[in-house]
Amino acid sequence: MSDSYVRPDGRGTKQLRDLKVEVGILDRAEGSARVDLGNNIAVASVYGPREMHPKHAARSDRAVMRVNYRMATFSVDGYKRSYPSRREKEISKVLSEAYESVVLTKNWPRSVIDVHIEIFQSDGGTRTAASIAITAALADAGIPMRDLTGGIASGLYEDHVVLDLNGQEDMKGTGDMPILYSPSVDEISLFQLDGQFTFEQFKEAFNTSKTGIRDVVEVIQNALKEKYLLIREQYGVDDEDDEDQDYDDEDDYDEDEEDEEEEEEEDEEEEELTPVPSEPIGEAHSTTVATDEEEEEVTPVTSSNFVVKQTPTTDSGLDETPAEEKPSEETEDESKEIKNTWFNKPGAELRPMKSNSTSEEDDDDSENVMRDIEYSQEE
Amino acid sequence: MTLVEEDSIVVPGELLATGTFQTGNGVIQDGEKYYANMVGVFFSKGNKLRVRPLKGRYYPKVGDKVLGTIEDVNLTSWVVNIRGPYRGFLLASNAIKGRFDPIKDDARRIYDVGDVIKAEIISFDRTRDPMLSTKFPRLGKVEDGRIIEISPNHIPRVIGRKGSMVKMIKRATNSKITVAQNGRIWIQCEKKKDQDLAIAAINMITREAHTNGLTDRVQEFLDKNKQA
Repeated sequence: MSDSYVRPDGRGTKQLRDLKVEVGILDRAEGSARVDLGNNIAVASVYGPREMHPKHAARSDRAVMRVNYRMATFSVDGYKRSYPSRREKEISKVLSEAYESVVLTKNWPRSVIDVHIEIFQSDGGTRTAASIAITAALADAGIPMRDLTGGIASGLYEDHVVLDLNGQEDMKGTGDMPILYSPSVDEISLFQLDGQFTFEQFKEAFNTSKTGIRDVVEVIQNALKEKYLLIREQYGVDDEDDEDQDYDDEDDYDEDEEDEEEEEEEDEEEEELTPVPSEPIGEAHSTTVATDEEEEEVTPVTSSNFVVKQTPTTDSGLDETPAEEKPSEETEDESKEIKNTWFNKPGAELRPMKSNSTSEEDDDDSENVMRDIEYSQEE
Repeated sequence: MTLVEEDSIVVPGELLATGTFQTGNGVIQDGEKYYANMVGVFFSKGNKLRVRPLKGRYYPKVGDKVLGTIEDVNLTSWVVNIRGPYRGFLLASNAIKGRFDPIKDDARRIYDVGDVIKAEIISFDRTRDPMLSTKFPRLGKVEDGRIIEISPNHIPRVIGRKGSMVKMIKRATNSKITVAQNGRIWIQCEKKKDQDLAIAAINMITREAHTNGLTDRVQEFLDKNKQA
């Protein structure tokens, strides 16, 4: 095989068509991407993870990838029917199955990740252009994936192994082999082959595709990073002038967030508290809040104390609580009863249970997720 | 050994480090190699590698306070949209403090379809949909004001360290703001102009969430627009 062979459109045998990837082009989608691969134009949009409809199609242990590949009626020469053809359904199916191995679907059980691809212009290799668009759009949507997957076809044209066949080569060539490959985990997630290859030709085509996909993935990476780096360049200041973060790590936020307007509303609430016995409790309660705020870190112990102390306050403030929409007569009738009973009821135990779990389970939770991920990786 | 600079933007499949580390959110391990699994900002704390995501859906967590809209009313329960892939369920026994009698009481008189409620997630795991409660203080129906939706990943940024950012916006715009973990923010202002300013500031935060010195820039932005 000579590398000096020049293809009809002037490319070398191992040369890709021009590839342009742009992410975040649609406002309403969770993630989106437009891919220009030669004359192909593919737009992918990602919705979800979201609730699965129909319900019976959901899987109890993982999210379902649902890819919907469509070609616009004007995307081809001649006539194309508007309803999905056999070919479109097939490509939808193989792509959804291919991406199930890449996306960490176990993070979102019982849900669905919807991906829609529209081909606006086609010139051979639309499924690889589509796969590039899907990868970029999924990553743009913030969906955890094991790797960025690229897709490219290799094939035989006039007995030469050539990379990234265009429409003409696809029609006249004697072989076509699109693959989806994830470079850093070194895995193939889609492999199709049409035509007749000798074993030598197959090996060459396979390796050519893998090399081509590394370039493709680099383009996707740059597109994804560029979106954020541009904003950093425009608005960001140099690192030097504030070395400490002006926000906390995820574990610490929760406590703070609602303390905010709790202050305001709490004041009102406490003023309305009249019963004598509850007053010291009310005070203790408010001081707890104050210390919580001043302290650098809210320790789990304090927060659980806070909750426990808070319960009686809530109880005495029962009548004033705005959450109550019920007709008041009944509440008043029962208020004396409820006063001492409602937080002793089984349902009320949920509160302390929850408060115990807040800080410690935080870590456990993340570890659970991680365990799942590792598990899915082993598969 | 970490191979990526702190605070840099990483993409799925990017090799972050080799050696022995703990994995946090957004990092997967393959033997001694650690890869990112989502687009985000890389950072490490001690021996723990993490990626702070820049986009993504809300994933419920027990103890989260959320703003939800009532989607459906049953005889003794409500179906609540809390964003994200799962629907929240609010049982009547968790909704009000008194006893709920389905014969005497009408669930629609407590919460009706379209109502916005502030609720807390009291139980959730992978196998069951989240259960909500509005029984605790300061939870329940939200009236008046305006709700905007942002990505839940930007919520920490909107709150700021010990609530500094949201306090600043509140002070500058003279408004009441509740930030819920599911990415919904409730704003109430007396003047529409102030409300718009608060929303503009929050939009600015979400757009520039991955940059440094954001608090100062938001302060600047608020000062500038307040005078005008």
